[in-house]
Amino acid sequence: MAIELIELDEALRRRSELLSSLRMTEGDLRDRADRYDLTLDERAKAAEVEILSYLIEEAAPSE
Amino acid sequence: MTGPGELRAKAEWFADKLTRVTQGVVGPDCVAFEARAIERPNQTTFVVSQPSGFIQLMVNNKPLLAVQASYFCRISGLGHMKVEKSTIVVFPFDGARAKPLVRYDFIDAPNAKIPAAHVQFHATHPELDRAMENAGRATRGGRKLQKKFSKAGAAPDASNLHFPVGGRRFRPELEDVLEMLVHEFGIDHEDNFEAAIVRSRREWRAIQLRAAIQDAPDVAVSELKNLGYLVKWCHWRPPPQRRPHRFDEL
Repeated sequence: MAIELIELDEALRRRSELLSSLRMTEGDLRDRADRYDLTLDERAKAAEVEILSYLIEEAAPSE
Repeated sequence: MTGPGELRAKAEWFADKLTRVTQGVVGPDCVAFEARAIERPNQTTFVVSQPSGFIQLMVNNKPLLAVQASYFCRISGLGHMKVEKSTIVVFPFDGARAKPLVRYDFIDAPNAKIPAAHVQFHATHPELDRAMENAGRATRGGRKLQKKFSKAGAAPDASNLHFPVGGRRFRPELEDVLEMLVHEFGIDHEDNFEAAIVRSRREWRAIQLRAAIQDAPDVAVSELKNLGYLVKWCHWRPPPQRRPHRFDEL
């Protein structure tokens, strides 16, 4: 499988779980990533959060 | 409107291309790239990355470096795939805080005066630090550097600089970074890895060359004529003009 289609709710749930497992808000995570204050594993999760946020933002209904 | 089949085909092609070159270099056990998109009608965006997060690069079967690559893409109304943002980051492989060694970024529409395609080095260089500390105030970038270093305890950091690399059309791609790392760090690799690199590079550069020709068709016509081709415009509409926003940009 080279493409995974995710429901919006599922993307939101995954992002929330990742942030919970990191015990950080998205802002804290971005801040720590900017300061290179993450391990490789944390950085992998941070990249995943960034990807999900991009997809969620793009999928959100425009106002 | 973009059909679901179109997005799927382009996303799968791109993920497969990245998987082929990565596995062709480091071996078939390397985790495949995957594309992801939100399921909804007329979806136009997708992201391609490695679910495991990193390409592990080994020396004598011991991990030395980790490469993280992500591509944020959009299908245009005409059905063309466009990378809106990509990032290729090289880390040392250890459990400590993961400060990158180098990162290659592409931002289709940067919101500051930085090159669309740029490289950031994470290194210490006393002379460079001094130059950064004394940056001028004539530009927004210079003022930003000054502001940063005027804060108590803030030290210059080479990674604040965005070095241009080839412009958007001729920016380095994942295969270029992998090839450099294999050659210069003696990374464990597949016997015939260069064939995989060349195959992927040819595909990428052909796409980029087509786009570059559209940026400046007059240059392409002139050079083809120099080579002996007869080039004649034969559509009813006027010939396409240069796209200065692309041809002239940093």
